[in-house]
Amino acid sequence: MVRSFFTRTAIQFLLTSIGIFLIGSLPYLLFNMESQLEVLKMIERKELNNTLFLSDNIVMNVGAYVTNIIDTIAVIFSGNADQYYARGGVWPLFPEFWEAYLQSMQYLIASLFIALVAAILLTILTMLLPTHRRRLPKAFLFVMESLPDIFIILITQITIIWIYKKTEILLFNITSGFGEQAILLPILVLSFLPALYIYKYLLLSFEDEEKLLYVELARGKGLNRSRILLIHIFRNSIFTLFNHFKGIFLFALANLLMLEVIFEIKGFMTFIFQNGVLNNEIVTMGLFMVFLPSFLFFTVTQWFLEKSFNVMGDP
Amino acid sequence: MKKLIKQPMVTGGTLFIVLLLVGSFLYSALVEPPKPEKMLYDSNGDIIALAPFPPSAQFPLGSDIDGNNFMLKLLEGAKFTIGLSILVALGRIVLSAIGGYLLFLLPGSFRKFLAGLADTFHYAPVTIFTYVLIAPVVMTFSWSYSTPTKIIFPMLVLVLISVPVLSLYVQKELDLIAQKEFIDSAKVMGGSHFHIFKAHMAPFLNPKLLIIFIQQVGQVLIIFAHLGLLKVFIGGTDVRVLEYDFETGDATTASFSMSNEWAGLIAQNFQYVNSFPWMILAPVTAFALTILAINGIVYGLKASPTYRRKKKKAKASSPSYTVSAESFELRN
Repeated sequence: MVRSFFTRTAIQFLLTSIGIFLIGSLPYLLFNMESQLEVLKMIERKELNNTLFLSDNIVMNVGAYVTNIIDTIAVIFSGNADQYYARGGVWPLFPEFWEAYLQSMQYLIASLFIALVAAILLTILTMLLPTHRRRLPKAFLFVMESLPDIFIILITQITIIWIYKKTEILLFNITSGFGEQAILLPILVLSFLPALYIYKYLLLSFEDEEKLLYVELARGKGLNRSRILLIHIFRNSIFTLFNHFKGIFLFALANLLMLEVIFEIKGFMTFIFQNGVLNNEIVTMGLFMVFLPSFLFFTVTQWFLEKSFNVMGDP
Repeated sequence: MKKLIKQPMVTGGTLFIVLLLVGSFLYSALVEPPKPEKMLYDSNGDIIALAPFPPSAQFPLGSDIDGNNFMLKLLEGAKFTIGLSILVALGRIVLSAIGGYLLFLLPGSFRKFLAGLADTFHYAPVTIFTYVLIAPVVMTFSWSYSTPTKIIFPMLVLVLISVPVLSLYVQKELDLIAQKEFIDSAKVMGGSHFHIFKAHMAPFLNPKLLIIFIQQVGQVLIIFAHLGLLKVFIGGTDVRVLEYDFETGDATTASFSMSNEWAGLIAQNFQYVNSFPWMILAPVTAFALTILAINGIVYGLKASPTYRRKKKKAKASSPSYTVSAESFELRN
């Protein structure tokens, strides 16, 4: 049983890695990247002013695609990926990329943690309400989760500026400037939507559990409500929560990009977005830098959960 | 269908979107857009304000830098934004339904292989993928691609990017349906693969496809908004013109094939976010309301009996009595 879990994980890991390489090099399949990059470099060196005579089409360069995949693999495994091209010059990739990565991951992990704690608290508070009183929080949840992330980020930012203009009290640093980093606000904003999603799924799973017979039995035995909720229902909901957590993680990553753009944080996602087009190995590396730790985390957690909840059917 | 109309969320959401679309088309067809005024005068003819104007009775959502009414701009752009997202979502659904059926026919090992590859999409947001594939055409190497390519290619990328994941979803649903007993009997009776699909599986699949389709419209809208913030807008971004404009300050809208498209409004006005917040809030709110309407439709559909996963048992079997105050008579 344990061995099959590891084989499954290994195969999954391998396939996703192949997928990352296939996707990272995709621009080379569709565009004549080599010649386009040459032209771009000429323009940025001011050797070429008139581009009207140039034209190109979407192509299917299978040869260039395969070559680029092999090149990218070679570059990443040999550790030579230390330069990137931007703004008409070649720049060292490290430590800039690494620092941006660490900073963004701090934001991401901190806000996911806050989201998790807040969502669990909210769920338990809602569950303590009688059933007919839960409609209001649910309606609130529906409206809030329909709002796009950029709406929420912008509203928060604009509100804080508005409060500042009215009262001259700056609640948080809004944008990152020289030496000053906006830390608290981005984390709070980033945790908002994931918290809503965790709250939603947890509430659903809690309410499903609540209808099951063991809850009735526990009630019949005279256990009090909060004890059933906190210990029995909560424990059984963890598995459902974990299954949804992968999606929420991806969602938080998408939020992170928007957050970095709006708050002008020079983070990991902005770095990929700004330089990924011209340096496709940055996309591949970036994907791996997200994939490796999160895959490890998900696998270990799943293994741990399956073991402790005995899902695999071992005696 | 009648039952669906009774769902207030479905009716409300559909009405909102249809009205927006119809209004948008009628507005462009019938109304001559009012000439923008860069200045506002009071009754004495003195200048009281300079464009952009903040939200007021005359400009409910404020105005842009030239004094155009933002409300009307949004109305005009609605047909492009919503229309394009419906088109993209339709493309996604059609291709995924075909893809899902093909996957369903394939042997399990190959399916697992593809599912493993598609898992890559769980580790990076779609916006980044789309950006990396669209940006070369519309921005980075914008000089070399023709205008039709600049419009069609991004749409194709937006359609294709989610086909793998959606196809797998459709295939999973088909697998679930295939486990039902009547499929076995249909096989025994000698129905061909496609006949079974058409006659016995499609009726179960179609309601689900409808829900995914509407959800996808919302997803596409969100991606449009994200791409707008990343300064890509679908349907003709011409970066060289933009840069030229920053230097001279000329009107930008003339060179865009799709004027007042919402994502484009976000992209154009993001530079004013701190000085004139309504200029960015207006299109973002338009996105938010539309997505809210779409989620309302999805919510209503999921709540309606035909679309629910588990059908409730018929209630008619046990006659019910309502006991109210009138049921009792007061006797001395």
